[in-house]
Amino acid sequence: MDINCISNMIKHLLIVDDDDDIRDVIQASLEEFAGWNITPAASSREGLNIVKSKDWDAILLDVSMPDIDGLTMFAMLQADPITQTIPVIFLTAKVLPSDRRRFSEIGVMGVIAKPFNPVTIWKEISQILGWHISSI
Amino acid sequence: MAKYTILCVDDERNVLLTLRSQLIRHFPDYKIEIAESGIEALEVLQKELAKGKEIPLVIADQIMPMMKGDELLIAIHALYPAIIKVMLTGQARADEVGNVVNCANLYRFMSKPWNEMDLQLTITEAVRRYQQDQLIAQQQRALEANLQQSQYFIKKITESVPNLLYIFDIAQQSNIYANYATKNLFGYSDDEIRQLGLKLFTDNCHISDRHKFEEGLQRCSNLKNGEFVETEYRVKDAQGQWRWLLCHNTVFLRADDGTVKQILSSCQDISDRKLAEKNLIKQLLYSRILEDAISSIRDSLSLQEIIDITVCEVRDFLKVDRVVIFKNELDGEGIIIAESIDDALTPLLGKQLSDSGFKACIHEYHQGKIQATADIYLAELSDCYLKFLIEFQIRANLVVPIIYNHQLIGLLSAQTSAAPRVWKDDEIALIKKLADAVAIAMHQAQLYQQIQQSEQQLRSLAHVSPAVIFTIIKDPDSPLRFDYISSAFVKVHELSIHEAIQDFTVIFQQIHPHDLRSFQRAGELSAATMEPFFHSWRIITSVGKTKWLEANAQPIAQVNGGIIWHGVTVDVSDRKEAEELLEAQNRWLSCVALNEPLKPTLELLIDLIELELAGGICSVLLIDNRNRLIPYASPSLPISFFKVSDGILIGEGVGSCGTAAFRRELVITSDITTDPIWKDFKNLALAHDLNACWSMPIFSRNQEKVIGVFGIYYSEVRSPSNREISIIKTAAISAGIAIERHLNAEIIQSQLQQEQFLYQHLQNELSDRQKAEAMLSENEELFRRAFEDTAAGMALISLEGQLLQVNQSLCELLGYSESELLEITFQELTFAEDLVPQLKLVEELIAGTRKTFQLEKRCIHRQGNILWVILSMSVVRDKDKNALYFVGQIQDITTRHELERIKEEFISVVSHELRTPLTAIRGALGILTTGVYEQRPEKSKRMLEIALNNSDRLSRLVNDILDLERLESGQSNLSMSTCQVSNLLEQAIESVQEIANQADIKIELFPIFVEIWACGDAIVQTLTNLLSNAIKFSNVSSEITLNVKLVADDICFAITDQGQGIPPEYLETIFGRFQQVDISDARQKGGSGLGLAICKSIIHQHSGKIWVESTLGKGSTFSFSLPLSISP
Repeated sequence: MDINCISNMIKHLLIVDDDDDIRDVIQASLEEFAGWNITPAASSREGLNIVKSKDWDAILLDVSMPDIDGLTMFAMLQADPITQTIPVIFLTAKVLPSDRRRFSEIGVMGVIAKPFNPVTIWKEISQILGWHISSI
Repeated sequence: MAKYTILCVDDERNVLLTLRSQLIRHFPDYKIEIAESGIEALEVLQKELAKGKEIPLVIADQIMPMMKGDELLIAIHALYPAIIKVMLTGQARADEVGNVVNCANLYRFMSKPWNEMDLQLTITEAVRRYQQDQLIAQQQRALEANLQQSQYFIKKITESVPNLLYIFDIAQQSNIYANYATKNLFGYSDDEIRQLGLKLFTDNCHISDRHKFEEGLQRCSNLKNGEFVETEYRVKDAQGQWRWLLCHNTVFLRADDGTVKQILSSCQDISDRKLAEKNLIKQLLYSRILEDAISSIRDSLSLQEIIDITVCEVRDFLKVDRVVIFKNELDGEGIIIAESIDDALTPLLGKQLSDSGFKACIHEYHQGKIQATADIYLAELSDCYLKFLIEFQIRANLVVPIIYNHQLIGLLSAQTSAAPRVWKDDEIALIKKLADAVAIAMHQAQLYQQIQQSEQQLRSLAHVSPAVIFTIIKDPDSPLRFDYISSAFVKVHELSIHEAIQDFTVIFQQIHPHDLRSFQRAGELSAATMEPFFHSWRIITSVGKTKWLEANAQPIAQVNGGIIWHGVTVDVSDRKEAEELLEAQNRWLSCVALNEPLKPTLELLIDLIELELAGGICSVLLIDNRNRLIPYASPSLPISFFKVSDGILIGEGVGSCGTAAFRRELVITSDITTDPIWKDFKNLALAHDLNACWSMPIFSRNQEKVIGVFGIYYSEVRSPSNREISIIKTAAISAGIAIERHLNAEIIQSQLQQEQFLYQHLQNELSDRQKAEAMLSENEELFRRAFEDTAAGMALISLEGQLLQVNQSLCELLGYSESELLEITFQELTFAEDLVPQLKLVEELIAGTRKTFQLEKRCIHRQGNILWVILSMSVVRDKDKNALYFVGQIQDITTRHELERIKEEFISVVSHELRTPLTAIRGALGILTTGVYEQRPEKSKRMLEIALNNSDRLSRLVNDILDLERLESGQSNLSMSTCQVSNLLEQAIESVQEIANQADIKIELFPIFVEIWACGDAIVQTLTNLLSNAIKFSNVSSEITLNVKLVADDICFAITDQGQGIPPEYLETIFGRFQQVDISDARQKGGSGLGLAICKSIIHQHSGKIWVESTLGKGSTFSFSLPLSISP
């Protein structure tokens, strides 16, 4: 596998979560086990500020956040032609059936429930987004 | 000035002068001119005439050079014939004179020399002659002028009259005259008309009128003067239009032999009149058709008959191939319900139409649009509609919508199949009127059908109702009579309906004599006051059975002064019996309680049981110490039978009673004739008409001893029901109590217990009965009660969804008035998304694959808000199992839904709050476990910190949740004690002092020294929570005050900070669970989001109050008060 190929495989993900601890854990998990390039954002506002700065492979988005919550941020991303193509996965502790129904209605790529397995979460993300695990 | 000039001509001047002087002398008024030659004479003449002179006379000499006298006179005559000419000559040849006489109308020949006298006379005469001639000429001119004028007038008239005038010359076969109107009508010139002759008419005459025209001409030959022939015929005018002419032919000119030479024809254009006549006839025809159709519609209430007549009439009238009536069911879907058709066509009757092409144009019919297509191939129709029409062999069609009350009920359509057809306006108008009449008829028929159906429903209801439904009429001066009685009458009154309808008095005859007067009074009162008749009374039926009846009837005043009562009668015997039974039971219990003598007490018990078990005859036999029967109490058994048992030893075969006492168990003899235990007493029993006997031994309190037997006899063969067995057993126990109580006074305690048991038993039984009774009496008001009074909303709904009847609860539930609800459909009330599942279930109901269903759905309140309801629905069918209508019940579960929503939300929040720290712990530990950080201690440390922090957070959260749950469920018993308020304050401040110091926040305390009765730990927890909140949300180096004071009977704590304050919209909810202003605050500030909820719960447990006041940017004050009065 040549170096270009590897660089193509490195994914750039934006993580938006207001909980410092959880953000750190996700970042550590995805960097250590998947080798991805992770940019953390502590709020939707911060996330929106940097979302156009890079060609993101995906955004992991917390739902319950103060000020702008994850659902609103998702709607804002969808409303902008530049960002609407970025796949978004909700990472949320809201896992009741009614919550799940709500998420599935708005057209998000996937939902990963908290708590998650830090060792395998990258596989889960890859699967949702259709990335071939073997080639990564 | 001289009037006349006389001219004298002579070549001899002397003669002229003589002549002139003589003339001047005799005719001084005249001017005398002279000329010496013929030429000069003519010149003078011309000059004088030019001057306007009148020259009556010329006197000329004959012999003159150049122009002789005769030549001159002839010339003058030729020019001016009126002038009188006189010749004066000496010698003249006769031929010359003759020539003048002949050619110049010579007046006088005078010879020279002339006699002056003769001259004078001649001139005088000549002038007079001239004057006469002038007069005649003048008259003639006047006459000619008159003639010319009248000719002009006639011509003007003939040319200007609107009538056609022409003269036909038979010999020439030519129209010798035709007036302007004639030329104008045909558009020909005079020459053309002349040449055409009769062909003018024969060529242009309508083929069917040609014979009339020719006949009119022929008849002219026989006409006398003044007679004329009148004919009417049509001709084609210059524009090719047919014109009706009314012609008068008369003879214009006859030959000497009387044969007709010329015919004058005067023709009047009567096209307009003809058209008006035609229209009039048509109109008469139309109105007759309309009248016929409408009267048949009026006469008949059978819809089919009406529409069948209509289509026949229309087809007959329009002469078309097919006329149909289409009934619109759904838009564009429906059925052909009537048809009149040409035999050659395929019938469409009964055909269901749901073609999309047809549907596409249906909306236009809604607006009343009439479609008249003369030829479908020429009309611009949509392809699919054209296809549709072709499929039905339609070439031309007229479609008129049948609309009633803005609703499209159907279509009336007339069609031709082969040829195109133009639909005239008046035809369309007529069909439209017919369609309107049909609309009314269809509507009427529908109403009639509905009325019939609803009457049928009422009749069926009345028929199945156990209550008698009746209508009584009281006409003035007539006796009462039944107008209607439902079938339950037969069962309740045990009379035939016919009998009662025939004669109302049978009702009175039935009434118990004691109740007759009060019954009549109640009736009279209702009639007098128009208040409802509500009364109960007894009747005695033909077989002697007494029944209690109760009636409720509403009087309605009639125009004729009479009254109609509509009401129901119910057999309330059971209820009355239950009441009597209750009364008897009470009597019996009081007998027992008061320790009345045994015999009347037992007899009372027997009465009671006999009342319960209708037809049963009871007895109580006592058993003495030697097991002998003692007949003791039986008010109804014949004494001769009862006493026979006296002293007989109990044992097998000693009747039911002796055997029961012997066997110590219930003995049932259903048929005395066959039961071996009755072998010895059978005949005696049968002789007393006793055929069955059930006996139950009466035990002593300790069940050791049989102290008596309770027996029940029936005159018919029968076995007891379970209920009857239970009654007998109860009776035996009751009798035992009475007997023992009487026999043994020491066992009062035991008796009381038994009595209680018995009483309870009887009460239970009675209450069961009362329940049953209540249900029975509810029957009579089944609809009113079930419908009106139920808390659930109820409605009767037509199969189409129209609300037919609604109750008050439904009105209140949905916010509509009853009348408003009856205007709308069930579908309109249903939230759109819930309609489909509901309709599916409704279809299953109608189909019968489902008897009833329940559905949680949303309804729309009148105000527009959504209600969650449970809809229960069932269908009511007629006897043929056809679905009639639905019964729907709606229960408002909005509140429950709201609670469920709140609960779900709470669970969602809790779950979320628990999962969040767990996520961090799980993540951090998960990463550590893999060992990836073995070589990176700083990373490991961070992960461990995360795990530790979040474990603390999780445990705080769990503790808070548990605290709160314990507090709110009342499980946590706060241990109350007397507490010194200042101590509590100190403890609280101490526990937050460290974090206050860290933020450099000063806490100012205004304590009071009061003791309160409280759970000290809980109050400290509350204070600590509020203080730590205040610290968390305060700016660094600010101040917090804790103020405590007494307000009336309360002690009030207030914690005031100088923090950011709380937005007003959060003030209401901030004491709720997880209701932080900012969800992330909780994590950042280390709170669980439950602190204030816990405070609130603690304070409430102390019967106190907690509240907050806040100004954004300035700070908040959290206060709570506790009542001082609470004490141990």
